[in-house]
Amino acid sequence: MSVSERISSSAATSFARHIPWSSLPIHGLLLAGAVVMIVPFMWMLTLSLKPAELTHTEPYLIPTTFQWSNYTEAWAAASFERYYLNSAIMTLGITVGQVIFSSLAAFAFARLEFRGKEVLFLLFLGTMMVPFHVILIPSYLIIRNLGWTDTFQALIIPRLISAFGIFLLRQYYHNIPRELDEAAMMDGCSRLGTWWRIVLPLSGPALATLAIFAFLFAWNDFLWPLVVTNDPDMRTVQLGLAMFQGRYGTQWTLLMAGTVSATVPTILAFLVGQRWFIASIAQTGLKG
Amino acid sequence: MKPIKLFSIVMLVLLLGTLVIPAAISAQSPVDLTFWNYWDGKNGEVVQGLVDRYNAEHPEVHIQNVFIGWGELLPKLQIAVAGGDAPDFAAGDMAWMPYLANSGALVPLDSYAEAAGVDLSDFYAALLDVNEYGGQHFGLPVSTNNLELFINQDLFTAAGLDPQTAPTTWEELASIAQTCANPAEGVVGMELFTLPGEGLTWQFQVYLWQAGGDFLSEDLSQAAFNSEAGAKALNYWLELINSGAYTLSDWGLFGQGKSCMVMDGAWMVGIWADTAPFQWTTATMPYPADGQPATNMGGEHIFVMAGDEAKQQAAFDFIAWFTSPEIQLEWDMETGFMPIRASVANNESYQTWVAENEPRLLPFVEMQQYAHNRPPVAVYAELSDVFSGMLERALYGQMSVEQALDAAEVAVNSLLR
Repeated sequence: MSVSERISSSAATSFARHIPWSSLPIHGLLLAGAVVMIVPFMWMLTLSLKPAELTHTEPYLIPTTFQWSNYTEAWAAASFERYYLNSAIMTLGITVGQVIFSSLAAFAFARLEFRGKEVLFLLFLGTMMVPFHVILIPSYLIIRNLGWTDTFQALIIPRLISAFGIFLLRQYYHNIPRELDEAAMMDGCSRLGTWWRIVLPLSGPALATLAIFAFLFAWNDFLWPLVVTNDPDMRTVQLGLAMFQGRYGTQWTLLMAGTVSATVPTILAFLVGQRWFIASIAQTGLKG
Repeated sequence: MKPIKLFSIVMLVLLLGTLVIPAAISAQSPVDLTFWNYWDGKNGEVVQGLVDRYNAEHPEVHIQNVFIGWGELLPKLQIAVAGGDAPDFAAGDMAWMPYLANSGALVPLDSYAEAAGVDLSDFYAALLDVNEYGGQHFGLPVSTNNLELFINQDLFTAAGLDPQTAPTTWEELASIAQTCANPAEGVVGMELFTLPGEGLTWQFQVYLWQAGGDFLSEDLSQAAFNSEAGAKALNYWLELINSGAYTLSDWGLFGQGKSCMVMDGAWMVGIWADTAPFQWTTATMPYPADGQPATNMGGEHIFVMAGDEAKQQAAFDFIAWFTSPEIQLEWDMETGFMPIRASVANNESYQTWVAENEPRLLPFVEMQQYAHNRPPVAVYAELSDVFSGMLERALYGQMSVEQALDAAEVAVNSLLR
């Protein structure tokens, strides 16, 4: 209502003539989806700016009080600077590692011919079906026997390989014409050279997608860092957030302030990678 | 080839980076003992202060106090035990003690207590009991709390009730709750915990004990709740529901100002003092005219896991200090936990402190002597789950009181067998 009222009458008539009726349902659906996505975020943001005694008082979705001290208090509750540094190192290591190793493995699966290739690939895919909780204790025991508890290699190395990443990139590489590789190799380019000069430059969107997935996975991971770190100095941001939910009650306003702060890097990562990310989704629609 | 060189450098940096950075960070300080616990916020500051002071006074020992979130501590302990790198000592939820003591990961403390001359008889027996297996104590209580009645005085006034008068019997509780309930505003009279799980079980146990019943038999071998007292307690809850004094809903109404009364723990005194946007007070939990005073207890117990004898001794020395009447007095005053020792509860300066600083804690202090413990059996968690599940069916009208108690008895007995 308010939108149409603000539009001048002449514009309104031309607008009415150009209403894209056919796309209204899809826009309605998308709008509803957007609301569903944004409501929890608004709730989190609003709560993070409330004094604790208003936790259960309206409004829930629009900040009307601005208790910025929740943020300073949440940050002061633990050494979050240290946790952010730990999370950043871990996330960077995992993201870079997954992109490089997945890309190499996918290149082998997509381009090389060797015995047992299909079986090996299926085996890799099969590991995606094994729930992490099943391998948690054995993995922990390996880390412990290596003497790696409370170290960055415990946080990073076991997660450098991603079956999902290999799968994603292999499918993408299949769509890059083989003729390009062959031409390059005829000109004297080596195998690794084709990977570096031909395949990688052509797979920007797929690599960005994988990088974003790896980033989100690493940044949000809770269980593995919990298990392999005991030293408070080795904790990650997600572990730090858990401390606001105590035996004797949850400090909701501080928890939400901490969660908003912890969400910022993921939003930034998405904004930076968004262009390629969306391009890659668009391409999946085009091919085929 | 250029790309290959670059590639090898990237790989090398990646590998070296993951190997070298951490070594510098996990530098070994002269730490002798590691102490895990989940005390957070103010409680966490107080325990850190105590550990710092102990370290300063005892240069031969260095204790590292490690906070681990409440939800994470038990899984971490389980995994650490599996990997053989458990902390030297830890403090955890009282309800975990039967399970932990049976796991074989805890060190019996009796010989250490005897050598140090610790007087166990000063601890409340019900608190001490949960640590005892095969005649040995595998832990000591270090903090406790219990459940009493909270009253929203604003809602009492709005309903025309006297905000200074608390109910003292079940009958009064039911009638006041019915008067105070205001369904149009979404206000219930007396909030009950009716979601399945330990929350329901531990609230219901209070009513069961007040009615004169018990949860398990004396020797902990079978269910004892399928009794006249059990039926009376369950019927009382149904009466509160059927009269409109309580409407089945999520837990947490009182804190939102949507319940006139609730039975909740002593720890909520500190929380609601800071965050409740309404006037409230506390009272001892009403019990049946022909029943008896009773409440349930929680809190933390401290236990030793170190394998090395010198470490066990050093850890116990700290525990003896922490649980001593002098330190406990200080601990209780700063945290608001209930005394674990009769000598602290009866200490004049403690009582004066409570009366002057937070008189709303008085009902809890007064009733600690009537607090029961949840039966110390290793399968308690499973047992509590099936029990609450059956009660839930009675509360939602899917089973009669008799059917629910019969079914719960069968399920609990099969778990105990």
